[in-house]
Amino acid sequence: MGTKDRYERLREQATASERDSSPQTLLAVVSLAISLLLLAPLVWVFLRAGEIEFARAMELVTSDTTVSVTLNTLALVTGVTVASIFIGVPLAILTAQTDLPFKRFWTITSALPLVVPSYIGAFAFVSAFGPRGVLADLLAPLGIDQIPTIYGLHGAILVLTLFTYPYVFLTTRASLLSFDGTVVEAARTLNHTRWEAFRRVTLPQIAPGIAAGALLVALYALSDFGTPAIMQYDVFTRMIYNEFGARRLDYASVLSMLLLVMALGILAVESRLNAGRDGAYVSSGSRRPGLIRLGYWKVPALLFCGTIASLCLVLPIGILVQWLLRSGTGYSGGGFAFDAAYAWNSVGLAAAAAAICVVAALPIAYLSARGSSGFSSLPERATYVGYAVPGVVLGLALVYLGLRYVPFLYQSVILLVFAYVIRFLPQAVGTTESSILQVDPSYIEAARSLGYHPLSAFRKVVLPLVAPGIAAGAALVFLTTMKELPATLMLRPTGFETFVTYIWLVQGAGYYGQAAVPALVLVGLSGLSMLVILRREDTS
Amino acid sequence: MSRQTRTQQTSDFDDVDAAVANPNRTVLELDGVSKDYGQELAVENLSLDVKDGELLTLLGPSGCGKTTTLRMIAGLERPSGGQISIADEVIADGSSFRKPEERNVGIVFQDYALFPHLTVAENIAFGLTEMDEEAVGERVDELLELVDLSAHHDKMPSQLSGGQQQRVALARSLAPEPDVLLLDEPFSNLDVRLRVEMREEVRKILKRAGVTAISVTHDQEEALSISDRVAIMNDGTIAQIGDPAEVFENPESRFVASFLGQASFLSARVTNDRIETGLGSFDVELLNGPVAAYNGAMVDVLVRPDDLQAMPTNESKADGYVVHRQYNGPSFVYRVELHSGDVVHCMHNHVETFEPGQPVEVDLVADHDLAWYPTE
Amino acid sequence: MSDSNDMTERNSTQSRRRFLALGGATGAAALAGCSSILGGGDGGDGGSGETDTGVGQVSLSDFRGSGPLVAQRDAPGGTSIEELPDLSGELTLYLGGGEGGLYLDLIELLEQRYPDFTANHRLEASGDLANTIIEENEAGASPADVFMSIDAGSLGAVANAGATASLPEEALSTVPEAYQDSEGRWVGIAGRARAIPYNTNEVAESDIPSTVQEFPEAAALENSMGWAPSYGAFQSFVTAMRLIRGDDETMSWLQAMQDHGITTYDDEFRVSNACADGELTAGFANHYYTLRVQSARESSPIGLAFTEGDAGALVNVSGLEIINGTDNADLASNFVRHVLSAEAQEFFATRTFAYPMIPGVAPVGDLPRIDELNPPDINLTELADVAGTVDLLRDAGVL
Repeated sequence: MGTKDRYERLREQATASERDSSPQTLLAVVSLAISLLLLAPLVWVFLRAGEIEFARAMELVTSDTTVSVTLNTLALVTGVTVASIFIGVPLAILTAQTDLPFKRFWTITSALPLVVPSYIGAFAFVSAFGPRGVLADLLAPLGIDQIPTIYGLHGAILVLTLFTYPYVFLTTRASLLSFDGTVVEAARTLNHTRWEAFRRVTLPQIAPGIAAGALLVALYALSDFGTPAIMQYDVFTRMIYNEFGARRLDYASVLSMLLLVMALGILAVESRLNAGRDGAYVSSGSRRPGLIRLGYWKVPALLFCGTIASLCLVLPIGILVQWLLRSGTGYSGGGFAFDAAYAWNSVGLAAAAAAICVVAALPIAYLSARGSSGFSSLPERATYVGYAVPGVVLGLALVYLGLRYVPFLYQSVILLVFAYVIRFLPQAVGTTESSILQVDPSYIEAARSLGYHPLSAFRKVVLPLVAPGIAAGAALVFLTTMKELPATLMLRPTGFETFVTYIWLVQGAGYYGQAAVPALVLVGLSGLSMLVILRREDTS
Repeated sequence: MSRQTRTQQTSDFDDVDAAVANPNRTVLELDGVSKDYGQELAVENLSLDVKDGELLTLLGPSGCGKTTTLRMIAGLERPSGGQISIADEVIADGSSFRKPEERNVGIVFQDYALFPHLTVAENIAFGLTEMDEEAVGERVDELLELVDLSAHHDKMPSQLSGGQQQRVALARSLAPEPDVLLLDEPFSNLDVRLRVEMREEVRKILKRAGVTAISVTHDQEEALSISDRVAIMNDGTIAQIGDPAEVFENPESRFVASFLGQASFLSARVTNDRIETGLGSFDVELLNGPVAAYNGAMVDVLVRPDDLQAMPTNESKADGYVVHRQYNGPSFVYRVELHSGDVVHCMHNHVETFEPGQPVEVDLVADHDLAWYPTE
Repeated sequence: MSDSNDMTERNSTQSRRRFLALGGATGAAALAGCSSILGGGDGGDGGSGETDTGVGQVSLSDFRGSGPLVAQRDAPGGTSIEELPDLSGELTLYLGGGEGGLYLDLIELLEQRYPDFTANHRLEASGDLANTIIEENEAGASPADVFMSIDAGSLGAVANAGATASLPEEALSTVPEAYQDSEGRWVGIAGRARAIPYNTNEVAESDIPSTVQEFPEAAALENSMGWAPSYGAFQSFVTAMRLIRGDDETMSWLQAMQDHGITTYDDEFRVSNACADGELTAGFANHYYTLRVQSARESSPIGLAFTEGDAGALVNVSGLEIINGTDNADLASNFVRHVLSAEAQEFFATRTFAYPMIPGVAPVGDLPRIDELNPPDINLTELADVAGTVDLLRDAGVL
């Protein structure tokens, strides 16, 4: 009997059964409460925008600058998303389904760029390919004194893509690993070439996985400030930052609203692509497709992996080392001395954010995975909105709301961690949900029939099984929190420094050498958490 | 009464029935139970009772409501109407609903739902929450012995074969001594040979444990071979309930008839004490039950492949032609198109080979009464 | 260590431009934090003999930097911290701007000197902090007692939002009026002059025009200049040009410079380094970057010129203000006076190569004194209109 049938049936059973029990209502209430709490700070944007007269608002929205920035942002988001798919999907296929040599090594190098903060990556690219960068120095003796500029749209797309494509890589790889290989074999026997089989069978099945990663990439590209700023390309975030700096709050809030609208648009597109999403995560067969023999393609494939790893890892690390060597540790005055406490502050904040995110993600992910109504995935969708909010907007919103409504939390670690949860919860929700979808729903029923209350059944049976997914979600939140800058600067307690605020401080003062060591340590620590994410594959 | 004797003969398991104290006590009772999902009616006004130690099978095609019924008994679905009682206690009716964990009902799932992170012993001990550690250990050992898996105490489920996994699932659900054990398509994940073996094995285990059990399947052979009683379901209702042989031989409706075995129908006209068919004229006594009211009317007579025999003959004597041959290994089933237009199936042993197109004479060789239905 | 024998040309000619030819000395910025360098040698009056730098014992030499530019300086004039009341208590200090980190050393020195004094600091981009203070003020009271920022515009924004308290008269009276708010709401603590770093091998001082408007016609500089338009100080310079010349003329100038051929950099330290490397002939940058290049790289062929009376001669300031609603007003006032003390001003001059704000302290090297510069006549608070400048730069295709 068809395994597919069996899963569909199990799923129907699961949804049907929970229709009858109160836990789902409770779950829905809890999830909704969490997502409302997380979205509440965004009300600030609307409050600010609401202060503007309608005619003025229309004028701002339709101004040439707004239109061109909107188009720029669309171009950047589209470019980064498409480019990430073109890098992330081939890498995922190469490492998951071919006889590529040193696959494990390339898997790690392909995932690792996620740990490099994109602003450090952008600095590295400017240092390397900027007007007076390393490349220009190398080419100068050859008589080439003009190289194409790294600044602008293409530079911003390049840098953002190289440091965010791992989202697509990781989700696509997960889909491929849980993918039933027999269907590809079926397609091959139906006279499809490998390529046709991939296009007509594999691709549709892993598409939801690709889309899940692409969603994170698109929203990240929308919310990132550092890279477009360094690459001198005008997008919403850069404009918003400049407008806030100039204290034109009305225009800043209008731009923030447009950004949120674009985020909702991206979510809508992804939801549509993912209409049959569940299938993507649930492995309906245990057979992996046979390895694709690369043959003559081995060399280009290795070159591809090597090039990406060089650009994403060797280059930024090389530039950091160069800073270190060229300028020594630089200025070593008291104000610039690195204090080990900064490292602990970073790790502590990131661990707290990760812990809270996985706890908050559980009900939301569970509801989304097992819920019976269209409403069930609403809280899950809502968490993604927070992910798209630029740190500076979130920072100001929490400054404003914190001061007025929870003054005792203002400039406290609690409010800062709350900001991280708003921004990074969807990463935990995504991995947790995909793990839950892989757990046979009848486990809970079996446990209940053996006398367990639904909650204890969940704790005893589902939780141990989804633990690797939860750990991966925690690791993802951990490493993104470690590198978050704008909200950290605005919301941390006075006198409280972290890795990134320290790097920002010394870099801002021009002491690049001072920034190198903490930046390398930051990348190293985050790299460890990436191993947790990759280990999950071994257990699931 | 000859039928009754045959029933007894099909049951080889009577020796293990002793585990039940009072075989006449009703353990499970469904009274007018319905379940709808909005517009869709899954189960309609279903009533059923199951005696202590009895093994009842709900048999029917996909979507007949059998699984929904099972899940309502388990508490995994809430009935829209009617009442369910276990051991004389109402566990679900219009006003009350007892949760699955409070029902003392065990379930063996189709894919066993063994917890992959726990060992065999831990799986079996999972439901034994109210015993001390020592008692749990003893109970687990007892059950492992019952299902003959003592050697696999510490293995992980993934290290077991399908049949072993099923026995662990059985042991796990039997461990807390449920009032009722539910089996959801218990053999569907096993290969054919193992399936036959496990049917006997499972029945033996259930009988030894003395548990009242309800099984759900769409496999008629399975239903007929393991059950004390079979309930054939169709469209959310019970079409017929009874012991397996009675249901098989006396299907009360064309649906039941065609669902069990390979059924063909022979059109016949009742003329006083004779019936006229495409195979010739027979005594009305051949039919099961009173036919008098249908005198002069058309009826459809149920004939199964083993009731008929085809013999090659020449065109002039033939009742029809062989149109198809189905090879089953030990036997052939030939499809024969009669001159009367009826299509019937005849079973022959594997050495009797006819080619398609062969004119044949078909004999009715049944040594039992034939079921019949008024022509629609 | 302070190998200063090559110090040349302490020429006091008050030319409108200075040629800084320095070399030989190797003192790297890396060593700037070492204490007691002056303690054994050329001590100032306040610090001579005080070689002990234990807690509470901080000498002038600790405030003073080291290296070729700093050697053989006269003792600073002005009010010494010895004459000021002790700092005591906990002060919440908002520090605006990445370079504000340089000021952390000063704060640390003060904390060393006064064991009862702690400055709880918060360092962020100056614009962000200004926004934060304004929001905090609107919501009640800001936790900040003092806002110290590298950018007069952000100080002005906070002042214009009514979020400041009054500064002590003693502090205001020591700083020239051009470098404080006209209403006395903020006061400058260190100055940054716009300047023209140039490569002394490529061009002579006389090749550098004396007004910004002449640059697009300067043949010697065609296709060999650099700027950093995303950099805040450059944007202040453009804002000043808009205030003086209007938007249209500023736009034409920006376009003319692009037609003339100019390369874009991330920041002005890179522009200055590029001039020293000969990659650029000249550039637009704050003056202290050239001094940092000189301090770090011996014999680098870099000189510094200033324009006259126009936006190119803008002197922007780091400054501070006391925040409205502080419950630490006395400490805050006293802190402001400390920052304007002879020692602290010596710190800014020798550690950050900034212009000291009190006349008694000289800038390093051959820099003209602050009162010898010829800055344009503009109100620094008006430099807060960065948004208009960003729009203009964008329209001109520069950003």
